[in-house]
Amino acid sequence: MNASSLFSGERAWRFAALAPSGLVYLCLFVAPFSVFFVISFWRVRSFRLRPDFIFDNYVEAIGDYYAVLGFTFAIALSIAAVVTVFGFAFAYGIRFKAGRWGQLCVSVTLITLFGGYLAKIYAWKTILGNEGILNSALIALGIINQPLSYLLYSPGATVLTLGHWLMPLAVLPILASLRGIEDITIESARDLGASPRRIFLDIILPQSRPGLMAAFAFCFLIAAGDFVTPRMVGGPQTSMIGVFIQSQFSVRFNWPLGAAMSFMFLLSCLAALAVFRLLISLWRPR
Amino acid sequence: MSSARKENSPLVEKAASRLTLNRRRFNAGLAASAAGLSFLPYGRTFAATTMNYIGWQGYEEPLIAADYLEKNDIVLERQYIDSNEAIITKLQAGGMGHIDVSTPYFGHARIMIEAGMLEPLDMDKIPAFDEMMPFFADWELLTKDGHRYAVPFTWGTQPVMYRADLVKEVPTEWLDLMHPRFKNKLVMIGGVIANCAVWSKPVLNHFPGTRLTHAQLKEIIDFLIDMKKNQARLYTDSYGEMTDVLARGDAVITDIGWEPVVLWAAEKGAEVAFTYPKGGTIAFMDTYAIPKNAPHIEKAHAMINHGISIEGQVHLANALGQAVVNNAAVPHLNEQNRGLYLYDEMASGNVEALADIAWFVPFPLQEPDGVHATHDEMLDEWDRFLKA
Repeated sequence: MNASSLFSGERAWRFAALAPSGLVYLCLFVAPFSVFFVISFWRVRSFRLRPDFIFDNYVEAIGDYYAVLGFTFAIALSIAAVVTVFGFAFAYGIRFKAGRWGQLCVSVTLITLFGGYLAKIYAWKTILGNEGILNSALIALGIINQPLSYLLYSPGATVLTLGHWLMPLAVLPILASLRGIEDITIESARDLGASPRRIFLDIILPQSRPGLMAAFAFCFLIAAGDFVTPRMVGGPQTSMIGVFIQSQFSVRFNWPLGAAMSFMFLLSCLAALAVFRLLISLWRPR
Repeated sequence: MSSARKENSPLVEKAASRLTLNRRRFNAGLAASAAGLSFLPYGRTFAATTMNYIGWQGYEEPLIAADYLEKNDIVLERQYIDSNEAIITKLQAGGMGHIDVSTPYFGHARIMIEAGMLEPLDMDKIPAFDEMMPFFADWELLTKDGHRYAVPFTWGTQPVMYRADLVKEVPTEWLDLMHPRFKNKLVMIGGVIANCAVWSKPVLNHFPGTRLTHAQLKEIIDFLIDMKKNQARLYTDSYGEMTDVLARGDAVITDIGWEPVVLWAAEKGAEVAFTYPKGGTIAFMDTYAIPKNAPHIEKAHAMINHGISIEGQVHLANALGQAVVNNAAVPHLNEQNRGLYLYDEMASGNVEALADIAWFVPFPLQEPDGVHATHDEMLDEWDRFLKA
């Protein structure tokens, strides 16, 4: 095959079609990624980057921040698990129970995406604060005498706020998977005597695995990398890794350590998702 | 103010050579910066000149007060920061040659001067400097080799803020903040410099808190971790957030406050007051400066002159609640603002009055001296506080 045949006909058309997205990917992802990977082996002195080849930044990233990383993963896994379960329940309801109201539910789900990230955070602060809607209602009903201060500025508030924000991102891929299940498959199983439980476990759940995986990955990655929500509703006990990475790039001007922490975080996330994917793939219907 | 006068002033003696202080986290800049939206072009139109600003959100307002941009056919693009260090970071990362005006805290300004990151100012083009209160005009740290590199435009102190309607027994000592009555009702704020500077007196009986041995630094951070775990409702780096928390009643008292919080909280319907516990607190001063190789040096001088002029300073005080450095602006300030700051004392040169309640501290060491913790080591310890 000569060069001219390589770039002719369908091949050339494919290349041309992929070139813009490939260029964007190269410029906006691969290039900065590569730069920061190189910088992660450098050092900083007097607010200036000094080219070097040292592994100290990775040693420090792992040695000093493993506890924060562990806490971050615990929070992110909690959020991903809760949101995926609730997102599945909601998507299931839309697909199999809502009938003609299903499309309306989808629209409502999409509309919540337009609310704005910060607006949702402030909304939850208004709801959960000492003088917020929830505490005020509980006091007015005589259920409590003093505001429940742990509702806000706690890890639970972070899970709730991020969970609410991420819910549409979980519902949509799961719903797409559920819509891929043919009605005739379910009806056939029913005709053959399968119970609703068996249909759910042997047909619906296995076929929604790609959606579940996507929803979990979305929620986990976004929650783990977020540093705004923990700062605004997490309180003094919620220190997530994103806060420290951001600090290295801004306050500390320690880009090498920030880059090393970012790569450590990235690899840890990939490992966590690989484990989740393995667990999903190991699970087989009866 | 002459250097001899400085020698006679207790405040300036304390301030001595490398006076510094910590930083103002301005209102809700957190939201934008934290969301990765720190570069915010405003009103891009077809103007004759596009200038670039980097600094705290709100600090650009004196520069553009009284329709300055429209009158001079300028568009100002603004890049907000969430820490003073971010000015240095962003200039090092490509901002040099692009940014026209920045707002470093005077301690950071000194670092930038030493690093050759600032343009020398032509003071003939900043005539409003002649009206500056002598105490601020005479800061030698903003000069080098006979050239001035930055001009002060605001200052303030960092007292304890509290909800006047909810705190019946106002603290008189810093350690009163550890009392059980404030458990889970305290807002902590600030970075390592402010916290060490404030708490080194009550915890270690040591001054200044920016010259700490490693053992002293560890003791302070241990104390702050204890406070964070057992007293604090929230740790934040935004005075806007602090105001919201006080206004909502989620907390009733702070450790390191800032005078304008009183006015911001009042706008939200909350009655907030401040007090200076025994031993006083820290003071700060922020400056305008022109980064090296700024593309519009002439216009940057004019803009800075406007920022410290009567018009710019009155806007800073009456609209934002901050303290002014221009003597001639003081008669034009509203009652609320004049009630917050010691203008008469500062104008008359009675800096001892300020020294009674607040003091400037040297900036942490940039290079090790074998005894004290460096700035970097302090930041490392601060990470321990944040992680705890």
